[in-house]
Amino acid sequence: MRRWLKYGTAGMALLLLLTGCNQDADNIGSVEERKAIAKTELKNKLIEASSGWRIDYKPTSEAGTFLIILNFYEDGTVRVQSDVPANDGEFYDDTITYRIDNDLGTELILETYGVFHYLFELNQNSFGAEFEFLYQGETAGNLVFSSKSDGTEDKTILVFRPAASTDAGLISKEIVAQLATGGYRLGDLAGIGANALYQMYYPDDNVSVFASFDLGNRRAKIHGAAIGYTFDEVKNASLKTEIQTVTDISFLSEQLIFDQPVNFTLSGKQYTINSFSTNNFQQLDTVYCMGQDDSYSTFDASFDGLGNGELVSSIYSNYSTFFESTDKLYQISPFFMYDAADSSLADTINNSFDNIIVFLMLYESFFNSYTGTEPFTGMGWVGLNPKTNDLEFYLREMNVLERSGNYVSFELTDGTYIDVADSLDERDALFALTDSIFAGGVIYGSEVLSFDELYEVYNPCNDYKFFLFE
Amino acid sequence: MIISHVLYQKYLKGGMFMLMMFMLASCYDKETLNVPQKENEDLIANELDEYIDQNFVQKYGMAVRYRYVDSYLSPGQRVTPVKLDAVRPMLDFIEEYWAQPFLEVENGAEFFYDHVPAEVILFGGLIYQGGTVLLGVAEAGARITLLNVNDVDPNDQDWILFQLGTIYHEFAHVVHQRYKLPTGFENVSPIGYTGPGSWFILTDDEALERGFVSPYGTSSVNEDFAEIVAFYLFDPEFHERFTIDEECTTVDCERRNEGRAKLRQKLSLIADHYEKVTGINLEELRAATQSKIVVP
Repeated sequence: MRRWLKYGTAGMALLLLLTGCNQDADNIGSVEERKAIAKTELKNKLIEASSGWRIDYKPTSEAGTFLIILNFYEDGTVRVQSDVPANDGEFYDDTITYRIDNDLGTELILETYGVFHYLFELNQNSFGAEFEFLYQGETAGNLVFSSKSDGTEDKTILVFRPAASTDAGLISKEIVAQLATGGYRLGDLAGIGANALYQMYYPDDNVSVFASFDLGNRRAKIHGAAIGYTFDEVKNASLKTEIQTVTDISFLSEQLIFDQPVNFTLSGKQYTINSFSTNNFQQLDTVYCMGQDDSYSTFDASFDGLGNGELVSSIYSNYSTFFESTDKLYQISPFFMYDAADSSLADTINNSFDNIIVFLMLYESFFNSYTGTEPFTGMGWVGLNPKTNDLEFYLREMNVLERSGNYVSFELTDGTYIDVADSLDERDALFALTDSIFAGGVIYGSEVLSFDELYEVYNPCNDYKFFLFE
Repeated sequence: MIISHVLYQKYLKGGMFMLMMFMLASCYDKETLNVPQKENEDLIANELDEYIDQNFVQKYGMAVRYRYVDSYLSPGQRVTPVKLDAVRPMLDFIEEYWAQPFLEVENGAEFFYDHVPAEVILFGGLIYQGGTVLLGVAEAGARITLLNVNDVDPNDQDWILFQLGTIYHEFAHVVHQRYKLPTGFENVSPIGYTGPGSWFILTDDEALERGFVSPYGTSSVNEDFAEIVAFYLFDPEFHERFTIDEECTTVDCERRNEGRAKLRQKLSLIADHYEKVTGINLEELRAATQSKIVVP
């Protein structure tokens, strides 16, 4: 009897356990069934939003915000509207395909190329954008996703908010592209995105504020402010102030919004700029250096927090880290030096020197042990001897005459630092090339916000341009 | 794993300070592809899907995948998908520059139908890794992954040549995998080989001096074979670069000519081998390929 009871009890327990398992299995279905249900539920949610979903998309903590509206359809396509002007505006209104998948969880995959992928590709696929999203759930009517491709740190959370019928109308389709005309035009040559340098002018107080805009990463750096309008007035202004603050930016209804308002004090007065809108965009001819035609962009602007004024593209900024102090060494591959036609100078340089690896620009720099105790200021090229692996220098001396903000004027001298024997031809080539590239003896350096210590450099006397890494 | 490095300044425009490398995954017979295909169950088959089904799947037994699936990539690789607008031009490119040359030469059609990989994966961008750029990947003769498809341009000879480099290189591997290498091939330049971990220290000229069309060709005898076939088919200047001797006044030039002598010998062995095991006259195939490529 005890044996019966023992086995009977065990049998009952087992029966209950199995029954329980069966009931659970019936309730929740197989893994595949649950995955299918989750996918269907998410797809239905995405499709149901009558005006689509609005995303104020901030791909990384070091980028500003992009406005994106998504309308999902039953046939696996999604209409994507955004304020990204790249590729001749194809991302303003685009249709691609999407897939609801289940791998690490329920996923939304944007599976053909669109604006998210364009942002993903920035900075050699390292910008930090994403196009695969892990569904985290629904909160107060919003759908919450996390990035599948981000690492564990700085993982982007995307909140899809039901879009209002008017939200698509908030997408800016003019101001970003128009602002992008105000740069040194180097961004497209090296795939680093659009950078622009502007002077915000408030005529009531005769105040100019200089700012760089990284329109790819949606960031701005406010360099400084001064009393004055023209280059000479601002350069020689006694009333000026350094600002040097960086802020994320976004665009809404053709308005640029500073995440952190621009605050500064000048001549005893406190100024704040929260945002600005523009109209009457024009590109006009000008001359920055005698004999060389140039152009600039200009807008009528309304500065929120300040008043009406003017927004003018500039090659000058009154505060800059470019040539800010001595003992600086700047360098770049010759490939990233361009003539007025935007053609790389690499072939020209390589035709003059053998095995050149880098262009150097030195500002009172103790650049190597050969110079001993004397610093060197000049420019030129460095080769790498393939047989000895020794560096070979072809440098020409220059005297810096004036430095103001990002403006540097200089004169080239007959002094050289050439450590290669039998190099008379190279000396002649060095003089010819530097005379050509640096004709006029003036350069401006504009900081590229998305790369540490990278500058776009512009010579307004011949429209040559190049990059320099500090 | 890597076949050759080529400084490609046009592509350098997209990035700073990069040595552009053209890399293919190595092709081992034992490799298998077990990645399940993730069909988009949500997508109602569109004209593009139907076109692929009719003109590639049914015609050649080749599935062309253009929708992004991350399992097609190795861990850590990041790349963007193809633009919808670029898919059809890419399909036309595959048809015209890959399939048609084979179909136009004697015995080429049989070879193409029998050996074409089951899957071609299209990605829109490039894969950046460690200062290099991946332009294409080929695996096991069963799949070829083509990158940078979003730049598809039938008028861009540089783009065409790089894509053909990927395609022909992998397609050449199928020959030695199925029919072995030409007899004596490995003995033509035996001391020129480097290895999978050191080929990239060579320059193009140094590889040529050893009797190879590219540094990557020195990494193994199989890669040497595939590189010669690929370059022979796609490179309009193949003979000027690799078989016709220069008039020399320097020692370096004489070394390059010594390398060219070895390449002429290897090319002859390869051509005979192709004729024997596939029935394809490689010279005719090159002519058919080159007739598609417009020299600017």
